[in-house]
Amino acid sequence: MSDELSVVIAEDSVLLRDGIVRLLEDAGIAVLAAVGGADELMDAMAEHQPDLVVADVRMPPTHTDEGVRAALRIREEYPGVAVLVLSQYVEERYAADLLAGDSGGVGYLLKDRVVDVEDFVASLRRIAAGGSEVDGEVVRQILGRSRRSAELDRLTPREREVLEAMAEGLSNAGIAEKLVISGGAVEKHISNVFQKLDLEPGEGAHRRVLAVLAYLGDGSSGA
Amino acid sequence: MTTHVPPIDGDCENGSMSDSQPAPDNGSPESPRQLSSLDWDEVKELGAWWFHPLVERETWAAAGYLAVGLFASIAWFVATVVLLSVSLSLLVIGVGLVLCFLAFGVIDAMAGVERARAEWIDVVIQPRPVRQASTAVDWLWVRLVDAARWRQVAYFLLGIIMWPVVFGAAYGLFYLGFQAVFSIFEVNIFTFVLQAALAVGMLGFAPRATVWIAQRTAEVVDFFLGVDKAEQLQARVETVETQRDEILDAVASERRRIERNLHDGVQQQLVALGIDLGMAAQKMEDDPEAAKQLVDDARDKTRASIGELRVIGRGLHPAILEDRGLDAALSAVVSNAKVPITVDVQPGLHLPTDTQETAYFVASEAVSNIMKHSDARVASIKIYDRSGVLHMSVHDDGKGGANLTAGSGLAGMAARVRGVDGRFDLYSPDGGPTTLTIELPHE
Repeated sequence: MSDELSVVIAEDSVLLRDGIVRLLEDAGIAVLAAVGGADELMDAMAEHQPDLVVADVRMPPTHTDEGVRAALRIREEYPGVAVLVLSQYVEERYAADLLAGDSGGVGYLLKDRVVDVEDFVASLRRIAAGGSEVDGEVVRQILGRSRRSAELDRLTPREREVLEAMAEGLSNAGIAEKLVISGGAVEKHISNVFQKLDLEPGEGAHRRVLAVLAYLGDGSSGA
Repeated sequence: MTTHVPPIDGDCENGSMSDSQPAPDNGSPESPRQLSSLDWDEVKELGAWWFHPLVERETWAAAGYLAVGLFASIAWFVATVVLLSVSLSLLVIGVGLVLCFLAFGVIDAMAGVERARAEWIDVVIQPRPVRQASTAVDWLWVRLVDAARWRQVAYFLLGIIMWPVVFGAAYGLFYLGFQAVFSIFEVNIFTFVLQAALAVGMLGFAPRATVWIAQRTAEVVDFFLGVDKAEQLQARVETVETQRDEILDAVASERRRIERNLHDGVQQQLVALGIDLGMAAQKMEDDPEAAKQLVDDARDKTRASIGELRVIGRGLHPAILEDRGLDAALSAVVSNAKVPITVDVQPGLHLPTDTQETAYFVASEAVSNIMKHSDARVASIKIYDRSGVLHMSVHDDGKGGANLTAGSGLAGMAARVRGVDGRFDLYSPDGGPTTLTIELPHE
């Protein structure tokens, strides 16, 4: 690969940090810095110009949501840098905070995803390329407590799967690959979903994620 | 089978008839004698029961309580009247100030004597708190407006009426009884029966009545000089509420701590382990040597995770505590410590589960603090039981400076101990040494 991806990693567990560094280097990704806290992450950002930041949610000093806050700052101060936040727990609120911006290049994944090495690296590359990814668990959680269950019930099981995949941030090609169906079928399902839920088809994957998540999360207004 | 049945039936009939019938026959001549002797036994028993209070300690303690109370009440009355009238009337010329101080001091002491006297009849009267002055200036005012002090004064003034009445009642009953005994033979046969009945009746009744009167009297004393029950309950409720809040906080911070331990430890280890295995799976074909190395790493991480889970599990509930008791459980705790810690548990200790657990958790927390912060070279744990209170002390020769900052493990332990009305004391000056003592009542 000519355009080698470069990342900065922030993760307080030394064991896991070393594991991720090894994994990424093994996949041909350049790790510019690996730090253990939010403050160190901001220092590293000032020093390096990575394509992507991988940050843990809970880090010193308070062990609460430093990672999310640092990610939001990075998106504001370094607009060109993509951010992937890793979390031990599914927190839909964090996902909402991270995705709130207008541009793509954001990811919110459970730490478990790291274990599927190839998928993880692929997600990383998609996010670095401007895609948006939300962990399937988060999407399922949002779906599970969405107040739109009556409207969602109108979807066929296949359309529901497509909706979930859209919320996770997959492109049409990605959805086709994941569900093992043709590109044409995906497009048909998507247009059905948008029609049944009365959603405006957005431009680009990130807009689409936002639209779907907003729709699911917001039960009061009529789309 | 069938051959055995008839003989058994026959045996039963013959045996039971021959055994049971002769017995009443033999016994019937004796039965009237048995009956009368039984009656006599019953009479003796009844008599012993009726008159036994005459020789009971309880009776004479009550009688003594009332008799001494009578004379004391006169002394208390005179002392109270003299002290208060003199000191209050002399207030205007200043010297009364000093006398007032003395007077209230003496009255407090008199109240103490009266309370102590109630213990003769096994009544424990807890002192009603009287207000103490905080500055030299308000000492008189504090005494003059304290209702509890005037309540004492009221008792000593009213006592001159109460004690003669209660003593008179008890004395009167005894007098009637003994009077009847001594005058039985002085009169004719008709009054003899009456006198005998009176003697028998009174000598049984008077001791019982005396004990009853003494108990009621002590209740009156308690009303004047003892604590206000409602106030005491109110204070108790407040204490319990504080304890409850502290325990809830402790539980919450305990759960936070467990989550932190899981999150920072095992969960991260498992993810890292997953990375190793994931990468190993990728390399299996192309680079089996590297894959093997990754699997080895994964195995090491598994081992570490198992160890960590064991520590966390033991921290949640040490199974050995139930099987083998405190000594064994604490031995396991200190055996992992990096400095020598002696465990000295009184042998043959039998404790309720919750007491045992509390002691265990405090000790474990103390040990983990010693390991983390103290730089101690040696430490010890001592546990013994004194009349239903478990005492434990944990001592180390480290650098001291331990404190009960909110949210710390020790603060949680303190709340836990106080929650069961125990005591928690931490002595840890900067520079050391540190001694942690707890007392846990368990009966």
